[in-house]
Amino acid sequence: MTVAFLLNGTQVRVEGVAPTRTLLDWLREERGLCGTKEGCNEGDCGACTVMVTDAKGSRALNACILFLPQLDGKAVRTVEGISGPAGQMHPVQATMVAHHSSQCGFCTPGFVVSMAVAHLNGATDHDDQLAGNLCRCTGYAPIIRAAKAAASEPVPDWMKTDTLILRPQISRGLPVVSPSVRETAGMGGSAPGTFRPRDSDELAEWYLANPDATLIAGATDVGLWVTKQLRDLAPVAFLNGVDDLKGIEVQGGQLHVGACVTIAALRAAVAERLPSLGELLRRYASEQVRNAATIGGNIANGSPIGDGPPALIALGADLHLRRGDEMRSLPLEEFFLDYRKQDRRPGEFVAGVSFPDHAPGLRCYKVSKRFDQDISAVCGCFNVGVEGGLVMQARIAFGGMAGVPKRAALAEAALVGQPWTLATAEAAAQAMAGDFVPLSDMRASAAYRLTVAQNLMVRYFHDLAGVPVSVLEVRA
Amino acid sequence: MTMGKPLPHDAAPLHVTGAARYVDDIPLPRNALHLAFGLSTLAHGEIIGIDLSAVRAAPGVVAVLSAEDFARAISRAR
Repeated sequence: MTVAFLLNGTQVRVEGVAPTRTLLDWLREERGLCGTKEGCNEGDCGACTVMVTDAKGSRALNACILFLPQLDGKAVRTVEGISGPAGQMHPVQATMVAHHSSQCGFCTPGFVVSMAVAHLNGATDHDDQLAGNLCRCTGYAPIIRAAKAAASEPVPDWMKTDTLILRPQISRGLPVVSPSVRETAGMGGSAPGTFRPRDSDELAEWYLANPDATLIAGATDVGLWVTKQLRDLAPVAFLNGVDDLKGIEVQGGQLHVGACVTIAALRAAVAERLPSLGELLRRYASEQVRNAATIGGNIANGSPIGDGPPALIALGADLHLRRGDEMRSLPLEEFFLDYRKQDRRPGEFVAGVSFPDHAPGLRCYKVSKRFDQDISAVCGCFNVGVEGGLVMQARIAFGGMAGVPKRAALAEAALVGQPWTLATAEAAAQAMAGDFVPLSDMRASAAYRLTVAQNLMVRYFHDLAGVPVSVLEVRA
Repeated sequence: MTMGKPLPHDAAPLHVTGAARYVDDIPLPRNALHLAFGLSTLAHGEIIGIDLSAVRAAPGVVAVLSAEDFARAISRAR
């Protein structure tokens, strides 16, 4: 398989590469670019953060769970390329030194890249931008001070070159870098069984013929199958070229979101329309993971603790599946049959999801051990419609309470038709005990989970009444 | 002098540019062998026997060492 991209401003062509070779391993082992560090090798620590630029802009990604074919036609900038061509320090590098922001220094290159990307994009929400970079010695305060100190400095010219090279090529419809050789199953080449569809029609046809293949979009979970489970995934299809599944459209009060839309893009699209969902997505993994992970992957993965499905189920989302030329839609909650078992036939894939673009009653609550970059112990999403003091409709869905993302049917039934009062909410919380038999695991005990879920029902009542309920809103 | 003023970390310019070298950054010698420890899955137990034949037969395995291989060295040290 051949992959072509820009590396620190220079064109590279990688020939005969295994499709699941990670960018991190390639950088360190083939290019000797050892500034990019291997910490956790599973997308948590951010020590391997690199900047990736395409037509849509520049973003921070974790190189440890990024496969080389995902970079085809893009530009990669490592910490070595954050310094200027003559070795000049980038403003974030200079302020990191000046503010004593490194101690052992191992996490520092990852921080520097995340900070340089935020600096380039004019982002000043430093805590969120850096939540995906872990530091175990200096602490975050000096790092945040460095980020703030650099914010007013101009963007160095060399940081703009990737976009300058890529943009004109794209606007003229030219390949960004030399066209790469496309290989398909059965067509030989160095990596048989690797497919890079250009649109969903090609994907549908190929997947029908290769139903056992692994579809790779953001690779934020699939990456771990390789780095942690050492699995051979072939045959694989890389979906990064399937542009027609990356759309977000608003039509008739519905948001239609393609399966390959990243969590970052979804978060931006819902920030104003569905602020509670936007806030939930702020706490979905980290900046680097949100920039890679797709909503289609989040759904298709079928994890009972994913944060996307409970919110979308509470919104009344419809899931759209495609198999060959055949499309079908179903309510999202019906897709999740049992633990890690979904209503998806061989050769069928998630094409998109649609849901109302307006839901004033929607509130999403994520309860996890850490505030940032953690997996939910319980994720409760509530969407109750009240008219004339009476509950007209109620959709309540939870992650972390069952083997699948699941609605609280008994709690919903206890609400509908009742006056919207604290007593009704408390009765629904009581009824919820019959909805779930949660697990005890390292994140929470069964009793804790049920108590939290019931308390969230009451919290929701107070939240809709305008009482500050967020831990971020506590005032002395 | 710099009394009363914080000094920048000596290695900070290397850290922030990715030029600081860590053990993991040292290139492996050609044909380097890798070593892995096989550990007990029980925190407390009695070893009745160890069957390492499957490990020895695994592709790419060059050597498997267990306590027996070190018995002489250990007794000499005592």
